[in-house]
Amino acid sequence: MEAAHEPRTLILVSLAAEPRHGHSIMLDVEDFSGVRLGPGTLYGALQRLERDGLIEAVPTSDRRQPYRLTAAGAQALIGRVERYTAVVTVARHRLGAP
Amino acid sequence: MNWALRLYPEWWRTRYGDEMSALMEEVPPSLGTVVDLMKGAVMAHLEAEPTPATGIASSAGAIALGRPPRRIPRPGRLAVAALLLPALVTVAMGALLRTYPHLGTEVLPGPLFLTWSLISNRHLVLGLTIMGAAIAMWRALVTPRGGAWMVGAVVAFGLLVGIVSIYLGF
Repeated sequence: MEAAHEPRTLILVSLAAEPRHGHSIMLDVEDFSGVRLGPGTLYGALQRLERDGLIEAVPTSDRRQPYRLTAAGAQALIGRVERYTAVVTVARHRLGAP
Repeated sequence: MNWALRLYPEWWRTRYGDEMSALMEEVPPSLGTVVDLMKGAVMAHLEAEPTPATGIASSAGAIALGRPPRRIPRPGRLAVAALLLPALVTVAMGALLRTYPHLGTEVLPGPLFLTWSLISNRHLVLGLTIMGAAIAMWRALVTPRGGAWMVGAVVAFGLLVGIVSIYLGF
């Protein structure tokens, strides 16, 4: 199971709401997770996500290229969220937390 | 920091160069960013170049086309690393002891004891040859043409030259 703070997962979460370009993804990811993705890490993850068909570039004339989730990307994110949720549920139960 | 983009493979710069350049105009330069870019460049070199049929258009607004590009299988990458890393260590040790021969007798203890006579030109030749074989093997894995025959031939040639160089005492 991919770690929740793994760059590709964070990017999928960031793109779940709306298409974003690289800098917008960096700021959003840092805002909701506290993880600061460097440009090399960010684009390495974007390239692999695009290669695997989980995100796609949105046509634009801007140098700042926006990306959006594909249907496969949304499905992959749902699968990850379900796995994380199952782990969190067990952890909460064992800790006696509500 | 745009100089760091030159460390990336050409196909990567063609596809992502403009947008990475735009991004770096908005990111404050720092040592951490440089290290991150260098790490990204190494990873990019380990990625297979997308073929025209499966590749990604380079113009602004490009979108991914068709099937994902071919990747080097994990065993292939491990095999290249298994060749490359010892070769790098051999070359580094050889270069170090050529520059500072006293290290062989004064610094490296016990099993690591090495002398000038043990680390000499032949180890540099062997290390460089194996390194060349590993890089050729990697290229052969990236490029579909050639296939297993090319990999086998390159590796065999590298090992042959390396072993012969030791026996001849280069």
